[in-house]
Amino acid sequence: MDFRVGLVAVEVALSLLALLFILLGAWQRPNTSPTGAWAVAVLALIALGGFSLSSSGIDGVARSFYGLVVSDRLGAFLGLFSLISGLLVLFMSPAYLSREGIHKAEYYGLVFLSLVGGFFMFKAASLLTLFLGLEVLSMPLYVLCGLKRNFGKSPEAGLKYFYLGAFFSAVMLYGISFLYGALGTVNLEGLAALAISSNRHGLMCAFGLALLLCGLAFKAGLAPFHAWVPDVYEGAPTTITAFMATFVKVAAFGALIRILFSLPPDILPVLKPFGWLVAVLTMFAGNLGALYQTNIKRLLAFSSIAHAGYLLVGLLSFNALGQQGVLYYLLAYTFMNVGAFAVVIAFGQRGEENVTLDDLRGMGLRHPFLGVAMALFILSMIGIPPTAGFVGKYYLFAAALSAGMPVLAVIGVLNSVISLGYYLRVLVALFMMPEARAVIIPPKGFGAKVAVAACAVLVLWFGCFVSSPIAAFQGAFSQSMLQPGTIARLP
Amino acid sequence: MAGPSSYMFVAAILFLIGAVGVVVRRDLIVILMAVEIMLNAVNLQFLAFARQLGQSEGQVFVFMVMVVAAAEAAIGLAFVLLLYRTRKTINVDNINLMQG
Repeated sequence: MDFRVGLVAVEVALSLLALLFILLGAWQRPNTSPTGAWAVAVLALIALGGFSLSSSGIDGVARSFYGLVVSDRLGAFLGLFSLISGLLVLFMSPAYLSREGIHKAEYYGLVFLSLVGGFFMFKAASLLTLFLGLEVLSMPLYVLCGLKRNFGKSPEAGLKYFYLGAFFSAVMLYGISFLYGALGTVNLEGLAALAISSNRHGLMCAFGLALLLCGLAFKAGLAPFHAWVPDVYEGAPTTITAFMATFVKVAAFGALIRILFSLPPDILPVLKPFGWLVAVLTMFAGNLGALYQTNIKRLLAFSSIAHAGYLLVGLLSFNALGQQGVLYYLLAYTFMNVGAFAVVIAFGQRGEENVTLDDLRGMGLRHPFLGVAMALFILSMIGIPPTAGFVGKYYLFAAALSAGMPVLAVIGVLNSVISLGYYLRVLVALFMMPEARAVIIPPKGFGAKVAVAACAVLVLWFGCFVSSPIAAFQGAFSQSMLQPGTIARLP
Repeated sequence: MAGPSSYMFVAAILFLIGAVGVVVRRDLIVILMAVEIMLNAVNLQFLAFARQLGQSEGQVFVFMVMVVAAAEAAIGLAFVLLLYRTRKTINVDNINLMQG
């Protein structure tokens, strides 16, 4: 139990760079794009991503920060996903930011700080680390959501996110305090002693765990705590929407995995019916809500709620297939969602114009590269081979089947069918409708196109070459936790 | 000395006052205060348990909660100020540009 700074090198580097960017913002000349900060940020994320990739091969579990942070393969993989999401978002940022008139180096600092928080969430070995990680992740995001101060919806989105986030972190803390009182520790190993019964100890455990999971469900956008998602995703700057839709999901699901796999196995039969209900509610809330949307950002927000439901299906199956599926889907989901938002940015105009389905009419034929890429991301979200989304969904639903939850798998597939209703509307608008406007303004943003191309290639790559990532993800869980409750027995 | 149950009872009442305040009140600053009351209820409960268990872990947690509460107040008040400058109101009923 000592500091071991080498194990948190990525987090330390990200924090220092974040401070540097915020400092740079103070000396920056007004109304100039912070190109230097952007270049440093991109290079840093590439370097840190390479470092994470090289360290994702390590075996075993190590503790640092006096036992508050755990480093294992799961953490390394989720960290890698977060860095990829951050990097893709950075690529599409400069064009979007200069179009919207946000010339701030702090933007990159806040993105980096948020990344640090996410890292501590899914590398948490203690509820203290998890809570602080959640706050460090959330607070920069509140500010980023409200960054477009002159655009009415943006401060409103930040404000809504902030108030609900503050409320739910208080709820989560109240839960943690009950767990602390009942178990006498806030370490995740201590959760192995958790027992739900009708005596005082059992009730405190049950109440504390329920409130803690509510807080995380809010962050992950699971029903019935999903109402904020469409408003916040619509109002936030589109780059930040892409960041939230992918990275925050990775962090929230990482934290959920940490908690669920620290619980003793006899709790799981009690938890599963609730999880089942939440998964079904989330899938229906997302897919039925999306059917009525005309704003593409709102549509993608509802679709991200539905995807959180699919992920929960894999998580609930508690078997190797489900664990691989969750990791695979998180990765696939990152590529297809960032890609879709990058296309939205490329078609968009200043002041969040041009983001309704009507505006997209005929654009697929006018701009074939963006149109075909968008079609690919949409097909991946539906789950059509040979895309990464298909493989991920296949693993998630197969896991539910092999875990003896056929009804859940059927509901999941049924929801995929419902989702065709709105996903196909996007494709129809892009390719089969006459153009809406007389004057076509060409899409701008080289960076966004790079992000689109990278995402499209990766969606296809992970749809065709499945075996090596699946084998790697298999290792991620078998090293650290194959069975629920095993993490407690590790050093 | 009163046992942890009485502290838990007081904490529960405080937490409920805060939670009801968040839901019922319409003024953004009052809602922020209600959230702070909820966090203080959590702090009270942590301290009571830390005292009962004879540990410092809960006390450390309280310090962290206080830091987070301060940061939250800073961001929250900045948002309230921003909103007031652009719309001349801090009533939640007027924050309705987006409807789902």
